[in-house]
Amino acid sequence: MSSQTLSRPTDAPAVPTQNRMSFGRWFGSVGLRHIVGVVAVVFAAFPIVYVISASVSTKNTMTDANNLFATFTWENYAMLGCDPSVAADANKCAKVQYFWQWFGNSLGISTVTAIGTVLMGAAAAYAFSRFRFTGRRFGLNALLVIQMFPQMLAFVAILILMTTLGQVVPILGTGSAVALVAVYLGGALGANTFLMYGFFNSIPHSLDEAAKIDGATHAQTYWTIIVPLVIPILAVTALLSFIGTFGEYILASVVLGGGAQSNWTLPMGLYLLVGDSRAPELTLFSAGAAVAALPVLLLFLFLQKYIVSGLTGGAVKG
Amino acid sequence: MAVSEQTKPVRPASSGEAWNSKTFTVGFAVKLLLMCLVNAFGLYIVYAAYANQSWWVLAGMVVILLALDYTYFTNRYTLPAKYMLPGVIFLLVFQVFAVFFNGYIAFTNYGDGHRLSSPQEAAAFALLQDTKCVPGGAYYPMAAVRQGSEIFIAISKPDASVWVGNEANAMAAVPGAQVGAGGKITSVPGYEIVPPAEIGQKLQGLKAPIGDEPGRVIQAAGVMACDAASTLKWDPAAQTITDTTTATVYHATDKGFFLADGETAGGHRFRTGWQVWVGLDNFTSAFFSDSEYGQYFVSVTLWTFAFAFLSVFLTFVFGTFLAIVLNDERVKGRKLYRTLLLLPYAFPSFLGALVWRNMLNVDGFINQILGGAGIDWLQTQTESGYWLARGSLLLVQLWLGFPYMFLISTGALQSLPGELKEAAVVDGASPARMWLNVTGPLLLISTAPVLVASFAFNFNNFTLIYMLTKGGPSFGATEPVGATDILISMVYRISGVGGGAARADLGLAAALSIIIFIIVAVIAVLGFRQTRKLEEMV
Repeated sequence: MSSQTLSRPTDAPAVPTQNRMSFGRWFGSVGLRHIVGVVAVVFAAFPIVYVISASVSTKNTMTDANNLFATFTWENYAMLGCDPSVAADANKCAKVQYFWQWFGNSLGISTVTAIGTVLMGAAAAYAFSRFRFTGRRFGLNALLVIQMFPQMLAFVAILILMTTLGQVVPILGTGSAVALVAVYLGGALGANTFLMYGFFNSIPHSLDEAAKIDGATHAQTYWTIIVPLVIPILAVTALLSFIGTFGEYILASVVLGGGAQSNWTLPMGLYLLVGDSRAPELTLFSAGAAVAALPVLLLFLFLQKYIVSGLTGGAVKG
Repeated sequence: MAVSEQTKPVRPASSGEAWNSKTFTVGFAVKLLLMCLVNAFGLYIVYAAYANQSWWVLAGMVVILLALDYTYFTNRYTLPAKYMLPGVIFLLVFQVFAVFFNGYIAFTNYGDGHRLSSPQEAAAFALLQDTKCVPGGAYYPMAAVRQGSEIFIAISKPDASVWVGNEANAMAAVPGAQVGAGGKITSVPGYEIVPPAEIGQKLQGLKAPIGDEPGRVIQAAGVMACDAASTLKWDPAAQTITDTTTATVYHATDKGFFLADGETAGGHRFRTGWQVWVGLDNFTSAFFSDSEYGQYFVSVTLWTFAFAFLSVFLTFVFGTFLAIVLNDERVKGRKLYRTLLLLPYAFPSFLGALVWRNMLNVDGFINQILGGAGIDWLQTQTESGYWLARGSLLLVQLWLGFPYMFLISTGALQSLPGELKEAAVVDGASPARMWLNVTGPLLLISTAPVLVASFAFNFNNFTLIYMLTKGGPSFGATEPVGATDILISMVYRISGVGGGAARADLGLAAALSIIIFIIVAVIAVLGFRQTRKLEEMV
């Protein structure tokens, strides 16, 4: 963590020429803030720099990978998803032979879960917000209670349930990605309906009443009037759901852990690379981690604005 | 419950009451198509459940199908349900039912060695395990055969008939099979012969019962198969198992296991048991210190609280500090700072934990920065090593969590009313005093719900613990619990899902998860009530 002392001088001289205060005063009021900022950025970024460096390192030993960018090769990336029957180092290759399957499974499961979560959560939030029916209050209270129970706490029951279901319908049993999505969707209403419910309430009722008078059906009102107005909250919910599902381990291991490795998700597979083994596959893992982090990282960078406003707007109402 | 189901409320426009379409629309066609698919899949499940005699699954599926069809093809009272039903069905099956089922399991001894439902089944299972070739018995030429993914053992008898079976299916003659020289099996109709090289070691585990006689099997023995008999004897009338090699008699107890004659309750028992209702046994063994896990319950619970609290505290303090420092118009490049500081938040946290695990390794990056310190930050099994691991865990948590708190605090600071600050300045408050009495309290109030939620989340932050330390360093070479274990990671270990447990005890795991739920629920209710009080004060 030596770069904060390096980067300070580059910041410092530039500013006093713009402002007419003395360096001492500038340093006291703004310069210190930059130092803190740079230190924090170094703290935030160095593990990620380390991963990228290790992912292009030629040697797997820790000491070699620790010298940042001392060596350079694309080989680790090329090895992801290789075929052990033709690879030069079959043992090493076998550990990542399913990488692209893991990647695809994780992307697919997270995407379908995110879409399903948004569709079901938004529909339920719409019903709670716009219809008055018997059991509405009970439903809202029940959701509040359910929201507090993290689904993963019931993983023992889910394990037995999925084993039982799998004996009847294999596609809904342990080892199947469809089953895992179904389990995740079980947590959809509890986790998101309230966030969306508040947002739906903020859309004026006069809008749907006008549509109703114009002869629109309830479905048309929902899809053409309401949904376009709540897109921001749908995007935030989908994104949070995607990210949450992408890194989820406990339920994924319960449902998929006993099945074929090619059906696993990224957290399960990558854990295998470095987790328990005495000689972790550091460079391979780093290449895999760099690839695995990309989808979420990109989503974040492009949608930063929505996430920030969704988080602060939804959570900190004051 | 097909995945396509979630799109069902897509266009539920059907004829009927005032707010429904009066004509045949595209929406109705889409609905019809989706409902056809859902019904087809549902009926398939009903049929499969019938064939498997899984009556609970069958009943559940019929109820779900009826509810769906009624909701989407009628208009009386069903409008809200049209929007809610898909989500509610998933919620009921995979969360509400799971929670209640979890509650049921907590009162049973379900787990390794207790998966079967009765003493008879347990005995039958045990009899099949301990078999030895009968001295002087017959040997047969053998082959492994396959039907789908299921492996069977096939033998040829001296009369050239071929018999096939496996553990679940008793040996039965297969007509039309061909036998070559020396009784070598060359083809079995309906089965595929597996080359020995492909099946490897598994070959020696193949066996199949003969007829109805309990304890008599054909099993692989080298290159041949032999007539084998169990070393155990099962007496259904007396409900006892006798081990003929040691002459020990085990009798069935009402606690779900066979106890050796002459032993007291905690004494020598037979390894295979069955599932029974054990009342509060799991809860007492979770709490009381004489059991394998109970002795650690208090210390693990304390650490769970400490970890959750310190996680929130450290990330909030650091995040808020950064927010205050960088939330100043004179600081150029604030946007760039914010983007870079968000990196740990945008990096999937399971990967973050794994990366730190590598960096904190004995040969890792952190030790190299420190000049080859050679410290095992995460897995040193000494008293100070436990604290080192806990400290390292909190450091990693700080890295993972501060960007979120930074975001929250920045948002909260920016939305604080400016008049209050101005008033304080007019009243001559010093910056420190202003912080202590105005900005600080306001910030705490507006972020309190986030802090409570963050505490509840970290209370069960399984992924971080598992990925970073797996609960270690362990409290001793053979101990099942480690210094950084929180309740949920201990429960996961007890359940045996991730391997590594001496004995998977699902009943105990379920009981502990109920305890966790109660703790989290109490905290959440208290926390939110406190939050509301704070809000009312302002």
